[in-house]
Amino acid sequence: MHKAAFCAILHQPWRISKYTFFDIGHHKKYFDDGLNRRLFERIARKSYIPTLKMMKDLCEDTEFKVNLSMTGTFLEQAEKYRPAVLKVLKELHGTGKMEVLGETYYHSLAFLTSESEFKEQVKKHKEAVKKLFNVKPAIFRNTESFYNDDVAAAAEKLKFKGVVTEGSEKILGWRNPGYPYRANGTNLQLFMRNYKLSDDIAFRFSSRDWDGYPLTADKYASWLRGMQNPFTILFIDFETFGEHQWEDTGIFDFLWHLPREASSNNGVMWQNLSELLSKNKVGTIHSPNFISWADMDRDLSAWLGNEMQNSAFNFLKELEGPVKATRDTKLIETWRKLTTSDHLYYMSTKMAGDEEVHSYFRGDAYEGPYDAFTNFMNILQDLRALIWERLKKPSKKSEKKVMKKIKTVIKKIKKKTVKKTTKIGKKKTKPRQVIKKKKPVKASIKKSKPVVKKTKSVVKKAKKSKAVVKKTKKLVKKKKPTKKTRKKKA
Amino acid sequence: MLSSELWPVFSGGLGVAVYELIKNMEKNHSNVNFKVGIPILKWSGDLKAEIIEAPAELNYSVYFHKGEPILDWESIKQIYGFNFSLARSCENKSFDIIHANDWMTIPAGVILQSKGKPLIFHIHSTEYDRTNNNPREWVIEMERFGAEKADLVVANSYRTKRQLVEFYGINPNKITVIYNGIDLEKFRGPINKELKKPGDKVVLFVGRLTIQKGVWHLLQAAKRVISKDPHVKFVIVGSGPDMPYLIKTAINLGIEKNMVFTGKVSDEELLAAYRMCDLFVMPSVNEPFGIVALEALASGKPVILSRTSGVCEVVKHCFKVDYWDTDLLASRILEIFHYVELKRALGKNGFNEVNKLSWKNIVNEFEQVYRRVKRA
Repeated sequence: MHKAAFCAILHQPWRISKYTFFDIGHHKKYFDDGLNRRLFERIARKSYIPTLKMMKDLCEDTEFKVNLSMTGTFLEQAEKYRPAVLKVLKELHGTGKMEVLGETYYHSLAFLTSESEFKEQVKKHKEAVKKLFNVKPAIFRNTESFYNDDVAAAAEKLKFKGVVTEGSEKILGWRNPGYPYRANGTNLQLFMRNYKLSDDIAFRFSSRDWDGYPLTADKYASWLRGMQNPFTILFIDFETFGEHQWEDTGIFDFLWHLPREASSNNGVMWQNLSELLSKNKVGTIHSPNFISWADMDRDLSAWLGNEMQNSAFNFLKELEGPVKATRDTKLIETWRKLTTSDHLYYMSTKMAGDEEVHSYFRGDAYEGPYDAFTNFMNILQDLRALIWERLKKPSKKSEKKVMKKIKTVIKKIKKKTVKKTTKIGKKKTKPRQVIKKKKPVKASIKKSKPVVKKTKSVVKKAKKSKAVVKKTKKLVKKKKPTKKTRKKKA
Repeated sequence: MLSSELWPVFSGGLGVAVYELIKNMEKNHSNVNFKVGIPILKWSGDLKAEIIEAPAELNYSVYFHKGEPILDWESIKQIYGFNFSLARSCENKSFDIIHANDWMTIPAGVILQSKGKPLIFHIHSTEYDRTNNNPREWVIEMERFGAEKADLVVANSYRTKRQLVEFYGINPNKITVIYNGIDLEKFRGPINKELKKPGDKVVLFVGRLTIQKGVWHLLQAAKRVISKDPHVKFVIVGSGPDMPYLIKTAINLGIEKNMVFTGKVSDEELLAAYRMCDLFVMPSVNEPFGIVALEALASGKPVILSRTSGVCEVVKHCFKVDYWDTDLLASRILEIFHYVELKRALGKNGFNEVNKLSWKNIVNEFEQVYRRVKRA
């Protein structure tokens, strides 16, 4: 009997508002509440609610099981814009046939910013899932299936038992995705997505040029039943149902009939991913380079494929330290919302083949990759300004306290040092005063020259008493705060 | 081929387009031969085609509408006079197809059509474009008359086609869209360092200084840009009736130190300007095509285009703004200077894109149109 796991990702980014170069420094709102609400409500109406309800019915009436990966930003938006979505999700979870997968909370490239940030975002996601469904995800799926050996190692540290990624030939080679593999250097099981069968639903379902058209539930079920390997992982974008593939393509009928068709005649057994965890792994998968599930290239090039994307991402990375130094949770959250991978995805300039997909997801928000880039960069510039303001502000109060302390210390030192260096001090200051006084006078240069000579001789005398100066310097060095204050004063 | 102007003796965008079309057609399709009917220009150039100069002069101020949209009796007489003499000088030549460019030569085209040859009316701009939606009724009638009589109408963009359908009521099936091309080789070359001091940031505008080109809006944007970054210089290449007014506006805005009005320049100077600039702006209120944008792209420069331009339809790798949104235009200019990688990406991708619009490809489309008309 063939086993199949049906997985889908629910994600919405916090789309950013129009931000011109002149808005930098004015701290306008970063996120376009109207746009986000409009899009979320549309997708909830067209896709989330009807699909989730149908899945709930299927789980109750048939052997169907689902595995859902929900990003934190999606859950936040659902709560804010359409709590009904969360209600249906909970009902679906109540059937006991829905497994929740681990994700990065912000659907971000956090793994590339820093490992600590990655861990924090995964933990935050775990907490959010725990709060909503009272479960602990056992299987991890990184943002957009970004995967290499290091991701597996990090996931193991975070106590996951398995990782889902793309069944790409780049790491599989000749091997079949439908077997249990071990991730290199860990004890984790790797679940390889069968991208052919997944994309048959996600991309090709309504494509008339495709020889599989029209795709019916029994045709697809027969493909699944005919698989020779032990299991198949189907992983698609949840919005495939109703949003990417509209209702009139027949996608809902397909979903309604598929589980029954597939499990008839001892056919396919639907599985939750953790049920597929196996001790007997058939081999180890090495993945030194990053792979993903996007575009033809199936690597990071959709997010970090051009100069603009790299520059934007580096800027984002640079802000991590400063924004965390502010200890302002709101500001850190804002920064994290900007780490969502979609912002970079919109800036892709890929031309051949993938361009259509990119501009589809770009939607009405942007005309092209260039305004996506400038908009994002302008916001980062503003965020940087905001961070520096914050870094200065709270410390100003404490600065005053420190300054008071420092002033008293300086006075004490002066009292001590002045006694020892009174002579030197006078000699040092005198020549400077002479020059300053002479300058504004309209005396000719010749006349002022001897004065300079005189001051030179004075300096020479002062040099002789250098030893005394060194002593005072040492005194200054011992009291560190004084140095700082002197610099600030200067 | 009937045209009121021909590069390099006297020409605006129309003259260049006609010249390049003939030249590239001669190079790539030896089966197409041209006979070019033009007014007295004392033309000399490197075309193989037979040049027929009609014994009549044209007063171009009629074409480049100035001031009030009035056509007086004298200019109407002159245009008809030119067209009759043009038709008379061409009627004894042998030809298979008549290709008339814009309304100034359409009466001659219709006269020659009566000899039983098919007529192509190639529209480079409409009266609505030229007069900032303040058209002269008589010229509109000429254009409608020509488009209705013609066997096939070629529009230089979908924008122009839409105008022809909506404002003139021309049957859309009769209109084919063929974009203007670009001679890429011409614009390749090193940067002229003498013209530009290090640290200067140069924004270039090229075009006639009339209302439709939107220079006034560029000046408003320039003020905002300069208030943020005083190192940005604006070079306005071209002359026109609005030049004194625009200079006055620049002075009133207090940005005259950052503005350079060059007036009309030679071709070499224009090429130098393209190479020197960092950014090209076309803020046109009305622009049937806008070949200057392609020239800037061919020079590898990032461009900001007005959404109301025909070239907008073919170029993806650029910034598009509404000409009235001067704040956004200013913001885009600053962004291009501020984000180096954006400037590079726009320049590089735009250049690759414009490669597809070489005259060689455009000429192939024309050859097909000729063939279709001849068969019909």
